[in-house]
Amino acid sequence: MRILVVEDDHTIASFVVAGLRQAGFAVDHAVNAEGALELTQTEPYDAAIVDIMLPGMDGLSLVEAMRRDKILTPVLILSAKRSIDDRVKGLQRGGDDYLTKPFAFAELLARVHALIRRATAAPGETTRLAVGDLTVDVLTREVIRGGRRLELQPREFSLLEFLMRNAGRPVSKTMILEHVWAYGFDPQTNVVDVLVSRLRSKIDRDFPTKLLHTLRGVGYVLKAA
Amino acid sequence: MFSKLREWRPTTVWFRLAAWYAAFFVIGSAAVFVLAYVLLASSLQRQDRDRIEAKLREVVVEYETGGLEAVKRETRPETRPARPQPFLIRVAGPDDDTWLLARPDQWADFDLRHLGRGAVVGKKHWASLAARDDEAALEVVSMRAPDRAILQVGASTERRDTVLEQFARIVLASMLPIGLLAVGGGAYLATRALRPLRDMVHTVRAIESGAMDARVATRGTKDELDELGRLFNEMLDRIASLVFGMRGALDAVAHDLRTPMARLRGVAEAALRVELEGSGYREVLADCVEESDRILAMLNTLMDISEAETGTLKLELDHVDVRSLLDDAVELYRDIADDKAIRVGIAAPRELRLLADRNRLRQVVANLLDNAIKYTPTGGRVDLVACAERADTVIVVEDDGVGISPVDLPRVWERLYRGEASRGQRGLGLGLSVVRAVVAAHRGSVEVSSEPGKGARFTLRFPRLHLSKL
Repeated sequence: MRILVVEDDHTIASFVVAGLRQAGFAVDHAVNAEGALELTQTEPYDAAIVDIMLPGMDGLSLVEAMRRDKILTPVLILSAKRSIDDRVKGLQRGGDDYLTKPFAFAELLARVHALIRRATAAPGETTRLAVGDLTVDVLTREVIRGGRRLELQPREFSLLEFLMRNAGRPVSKTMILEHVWAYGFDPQTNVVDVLVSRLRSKIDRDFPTKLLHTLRGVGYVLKAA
Repeated sequence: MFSKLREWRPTTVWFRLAAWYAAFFVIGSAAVFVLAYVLLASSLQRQDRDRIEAKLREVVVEYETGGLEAVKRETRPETRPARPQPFLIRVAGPDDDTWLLARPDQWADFDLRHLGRGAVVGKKHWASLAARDDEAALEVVSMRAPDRAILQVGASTERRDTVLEQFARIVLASMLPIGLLAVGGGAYLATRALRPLRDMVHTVRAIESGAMDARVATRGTKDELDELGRLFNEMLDRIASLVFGMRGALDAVAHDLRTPMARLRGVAEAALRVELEGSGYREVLADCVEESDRILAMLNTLMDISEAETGTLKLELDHVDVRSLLDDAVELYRDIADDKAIRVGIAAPRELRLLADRNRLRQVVANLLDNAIKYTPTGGRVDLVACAERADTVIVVEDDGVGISPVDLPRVWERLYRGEASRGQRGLGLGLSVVRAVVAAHRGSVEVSSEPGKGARFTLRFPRLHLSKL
């Protein structure tokens, strides 16, 4: 998997590049849109991370230029502005997802994975999900752990499905709010913690191996070991 | 006053205005004088000619009744009374051979050779003869008697020339004061007309040099320039309120962020001072990340409040269905309410719509609901009620929880204020400030009433607006 990072701030670029390499990606880094456009024309990328504020040509224009050249690489837009306006503009001009600075690297990683998955997903591939001895059937909504059927509320199921699709990768509270409640902003509440603790009590309480872990300062992760 | 005068310099516009005024004034006066001169001259000429014609009639009557002798008798000097303007009287034969010529002595200067030319029977013929020295003219009227004899009467224009000359002299003498008056008037008019503009320039200069409260003096005359001044002042007021509002907001944000920044720094510094073992450093780093997330959340919220308060918050207006808005909010808090066995009721009519920013309004309702659930004990009740009331759309969030003490009640809207009951609770202390700022940005109002121990009631009131009003 090959990823292009277009970011002119060296500190941010270096931790993003290092983090992505650690996660097993091949990463190229461009410091401006002009260089990035050249790279996308010759190299096949699985995803691109593009900062809006760049010297010279800006990130949104880069995405537009890529789309004009029929380069359909999924793009995650990074911005220091947090208004919904900018988000809408970014998505309208050809971006696939949007992340505001400052961000948790875990969230960036999860969003990149989601973008790649969305771009390469084959239909019908993911009706059965499994993490350790926990299996979920997305179609029948059946949740089984250690041979025992678990009863989940719709929202709990929605959260579990989201966590299982991102198994092994941390997801942030913001992502959960977006996915489970379709809230595009953080209402500064503990609703996510409450839902997570309810889910945890159903899938983990009666089992010795815990699957749902809290990562302080990052979010939650579902993993077998 | 003196300094103002010294500062004052004629500008190009001032000079042009004054020059135009002076030019029009001078040209206008000159035109009036020329017209008066022409009218006076023609009226004097008519007077003179009337007199000459009257004399001619006399002569004609005498000639026709008494012949040449009668005319001769009449023109004899001893029968003629002294007149201010004696006439020239000539009688000539059909071939212009002079039979009789009576003329005052001073008329010797006139060339009388062609005097009879052009005279016709029964019709008066006017002719003008110049004096040899060109100083005056002789006006002569001729007529042929039925026997083809030429009868002529003339008079000098000297008298009326003198009058006209005097008139012209007076006019010329008055042109100097008129010119002065024109220049003075022009200067006065230009100064007066440009005063409001000059006031504006002074005001802008004053503001540039730091006097932000300087304003243009208006006279209340309701004319265009006064209105310009008033609009100018209104614009300055608006700019000032924005600038001061933003300055205040910036100060407040800087101040509010100091405490969490100090906490963040403290945590990191404490960890640097001692040697930690095992996962100790991870814990501290996690603390730091959480603390910086809190700072970020606070910064975002404070920016929202500031933007809403200074009127720079951009609202994405849409027709929001109030019922589904409340449903969404309750859905978000369903789990938390269930955990505390709090019953959340919604009473809102279908088809109640509100022109508002959907996400901002969700935030407002979420904040109020969050508070209501937080301060309501297990087994309590929270109600969300919406209705149309005259021109307003009203949303009420009511609980039967601990309520708000009278001491805290007026202060709940303050940024970062936390009452006794909320000290132990999670949160930034900004929720209600956001509510009030966002509601105000929608031109709405929010009120709180509470009886301690019996619950609190928050009432949002939005005027029904049209898109153009926001």
